[in-house]
Amino acid sequence: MREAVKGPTHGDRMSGFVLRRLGFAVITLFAVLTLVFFIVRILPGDPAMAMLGDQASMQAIEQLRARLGLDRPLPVQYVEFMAGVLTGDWGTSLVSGRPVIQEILKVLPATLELTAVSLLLGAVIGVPLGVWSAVNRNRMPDYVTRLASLLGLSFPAFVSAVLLLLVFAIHLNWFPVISSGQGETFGARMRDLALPAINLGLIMAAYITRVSRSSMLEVLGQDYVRTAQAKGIEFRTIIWRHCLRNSMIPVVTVVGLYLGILIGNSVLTEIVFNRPGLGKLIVGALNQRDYTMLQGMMVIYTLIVVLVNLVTDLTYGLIDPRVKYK
Amino acid sequence: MTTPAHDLPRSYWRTTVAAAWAGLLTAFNTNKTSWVGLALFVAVCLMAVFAPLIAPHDPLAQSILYRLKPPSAEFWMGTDYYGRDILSRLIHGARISLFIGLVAIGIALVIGSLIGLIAGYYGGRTDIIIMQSMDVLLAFPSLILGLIVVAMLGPSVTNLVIAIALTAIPPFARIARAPTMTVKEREFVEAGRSLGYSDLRLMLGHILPNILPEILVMGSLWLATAIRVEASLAFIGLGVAPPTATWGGMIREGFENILDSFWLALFPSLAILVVVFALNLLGDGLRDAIDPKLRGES
Repeated sequence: MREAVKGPTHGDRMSGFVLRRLGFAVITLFAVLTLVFFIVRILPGDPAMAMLGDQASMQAIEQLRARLGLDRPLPVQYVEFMAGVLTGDWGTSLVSGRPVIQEILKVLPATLELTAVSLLLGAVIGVPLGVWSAVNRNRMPDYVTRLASLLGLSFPAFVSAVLLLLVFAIHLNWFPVISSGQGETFGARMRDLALPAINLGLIMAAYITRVSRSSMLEVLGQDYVRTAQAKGIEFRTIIWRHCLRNSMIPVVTVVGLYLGILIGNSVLTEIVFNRPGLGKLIVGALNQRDYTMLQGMMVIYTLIVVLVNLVTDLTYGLIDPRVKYK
Repeated sequence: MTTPAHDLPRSYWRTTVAAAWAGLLTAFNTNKTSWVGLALFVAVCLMAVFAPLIAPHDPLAQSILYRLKPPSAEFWMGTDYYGRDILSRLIHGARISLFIGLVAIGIALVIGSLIGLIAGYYGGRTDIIIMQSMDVLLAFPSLILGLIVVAMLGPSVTNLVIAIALTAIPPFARIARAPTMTVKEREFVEAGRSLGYSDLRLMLGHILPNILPEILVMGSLWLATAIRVEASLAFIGLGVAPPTATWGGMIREGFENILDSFWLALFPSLAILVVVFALNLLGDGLRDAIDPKLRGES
């Protein structure tokens, strides 16, 4: 009997792809965590001194350094830091005395809620606008959309937040000025969420519009689009059936690409609307010089960034099988 | 022909550099909006340079009599909590924003481009190691990184420049690397190498002038980001210390009185928006025109 020549099966390729991405994520995670460790310890400005002020006695500073473990050799500190991060022991807040990880997990859902709704809003506005702009390339709708999206991404998030607050909360009184994020009913919760989500969502829409437009333009230039047109298929059908699905693949990566911007803008949005979340936590930690909390905040942001990038990469591979073979 | 052999690479090189810069001019002319962006930005720069001559009042002069006055003929943009003229503070505030932005991006441009040049020129393992570490830096949200660095070093003009430059180095490395990889294959680099020029001379003297227009275009976009980040840090409370006028700091102060004196936060908000938008307008049009992927279509 003749043996069939065996090549890698689809399953093999898929698991290979997942493993490679996973390996890369782990390496990035370690690299960034190492960076966090050194940023906190190598930068001039001793955390203990920064917390206690210039007037503190040497003895008090030494005591705090010992409490924080800063008097031990760097390699020992490094191993303890890494072990702590992996086992969920991120130290205790110097201000509240509660475990850092608990404080973070308490406000994390509020931030995730805000960013998820904003991203959804951004996609709902941005994708159709980008497609519309691309289809009407170099005509009025294209110019207007391009200018509007450029204006949208020129807004520092706190500037747009202040303007929204001025118009809709103070002048028109449609929404609460302070968004507690802890409304009892669903309606109250949504009212709290509305302005912050609109603020963040509009900025994300500007980015998504631009990516959708350029991605759609690329697809519109493909041969199969011309073929479909030559066969006499209605243009509308070509756009929605043939082009949209193909052009959406790069749009998925926008989440990974603009995550840093999304995170930075969510911090500013939370501050302006006085909404609980990671943003308020990090600013509070800055003002009170809560050094363990700051370190914990950097760890959680690192975890979020690495995790989201991993998920984006894997989704990309799932939507577009060609990616896996690279 | 009497051109000496050792002058050949130089004349080749001159043509390519001239072409690269001519491309930038063409880009300007195909995108009229870039001129608008440039004009706006230059106007703001002039305003910053001649601030003491233009500002109608002393930006630091306090007056209890004129506290929180709405816009009027004497104070076009009103006064703040200490009775200081908002318009004068706005004009002087442009100096801080532009200075920090320009210096930080200048530093990031030089360091980042050098890193990108080295990665692109040598390729192979050097390239992989350099670009992977840049990607790691890039993975961290720039506002958070800037926030931590300024918080650790303390808010001052120098430290803000360091923090913002640090976050902008990786993108410049990426921007410089890609064109370096194509340009290093060109004849004039090959010719220079066969004449025994050093790698450094080839990189700085021959490749860099060719890729500089592209780097400068991205520089204008990153300058917009730098100004946005500086204002954001000032808004959070990590800006240059008061009473120095900074746009982000003015919005922060104005935000405390937003319920009854909206003009405090409104005008500096618009100022930031105008500058960032002008720079984006300038850079975006040029990038479209200069990007080889889009070149040839219109």
